[in-house]
Amino acid sequence: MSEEARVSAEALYRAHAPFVAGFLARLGTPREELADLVQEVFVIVHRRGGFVSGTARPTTWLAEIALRVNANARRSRARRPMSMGTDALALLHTTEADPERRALAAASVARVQRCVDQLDEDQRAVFLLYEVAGESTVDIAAALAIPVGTVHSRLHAARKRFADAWQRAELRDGEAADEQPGSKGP
Amino acid sequence: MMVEPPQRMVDDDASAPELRAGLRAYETAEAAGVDYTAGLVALRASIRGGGAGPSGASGLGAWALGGGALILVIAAGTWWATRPPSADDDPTTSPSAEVPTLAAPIPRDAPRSHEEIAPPIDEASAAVPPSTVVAAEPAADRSVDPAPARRASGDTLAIEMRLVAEARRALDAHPTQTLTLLDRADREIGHGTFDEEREALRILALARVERHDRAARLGHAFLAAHPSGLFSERVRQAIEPSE
Repeated sequence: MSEEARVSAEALYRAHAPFVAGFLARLGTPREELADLVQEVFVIVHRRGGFVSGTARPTTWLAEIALRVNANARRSRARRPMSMGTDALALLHTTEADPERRALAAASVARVQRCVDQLDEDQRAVFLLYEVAGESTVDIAAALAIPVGTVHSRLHAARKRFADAWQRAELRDGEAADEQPGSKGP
Repeated sequence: MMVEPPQRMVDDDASAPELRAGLRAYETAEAAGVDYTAGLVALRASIRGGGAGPSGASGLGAWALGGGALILVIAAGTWWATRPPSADDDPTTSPSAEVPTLAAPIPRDAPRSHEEIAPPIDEASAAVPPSTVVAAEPAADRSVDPAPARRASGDTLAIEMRLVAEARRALDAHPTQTLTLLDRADREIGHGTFDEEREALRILALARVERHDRAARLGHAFLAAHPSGLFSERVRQAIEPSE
């Protein structure tokens, strides 16, 4: 394999650090750990000798490393006491310039994240890569080293659970709005 | 039999409009709380130090063990965190909790295109701008006497990092303050390690204060210089409404 086909950790960081950070955040990495875990992903990239073009897409390849790093961190986190509230959500919507629209978008992002949090680990990885990152099921299968059929079945289950969680969240948010002082009752 | 993948929910008319809108917002949401500037410097230092990096969820201890280089990077971050409070730090007005960290900056002298195949990591490290080298390895290079000029360069980097961080925090709620801080950086630093982030912040701030013509002019020049940089998409989005 030619050395020229390798992309260094630094080059990958320049191109994909925000993707990795976003992916880790969506996996539930607390904000205070995010920078460390992003760093750890790219140190692993370096230890692996960089990315070899042609074996997979860089993003799915990085996502596979991020999944492992996140799983290790979660195990470590489980061994020590920690409080995590919704304030720890490491995702924010910022591309909206208008404050009102930004607030609405932030509420939507938070609701989607709550629904994503309902998925189990395997479903969440496939859901995020397919529905959010727009990766193909073939690329996801290659990156996760699982059959394409397994990707499809996990995706099917994830979408159903996500849609159910979304419906519940809508109901809950609607009821909460009705209970606000000044809101008109039914 | 090959199973066709389903249509993505965000594109699927069968999905509820609110759900699709939520997913669209979710897709474009960015991670907050990551300083890509410090991250890039730390990654280089970590690689130069033999690839040691944060090995657990709380990486500070491991980073410190990784060598003096990382200690300095962490010290810079600590300095940010413990710096004297500014007007932007007022919790009732500061956007700091909501303003994202911009995507990673690219030092002026470093290779610009991330599509290009990067040189081996040691070569890449050799191309680190002088000021970054000072930040990354003052303790490691004990054979070289740290000349005053290099120490000054390190001070300049710290000042630049602080100004850029404050400019970034102010962007959402106080874009004019962002512009003031960036002007100050131009006066006090001139060209620095984070020129690209400074220029991107300036364009975003100009768009926020509705100086669309200037934002578009600078934005086009920026995109010509950095067509696929880490800031490019945000700059593109910022200048789109004015076109």
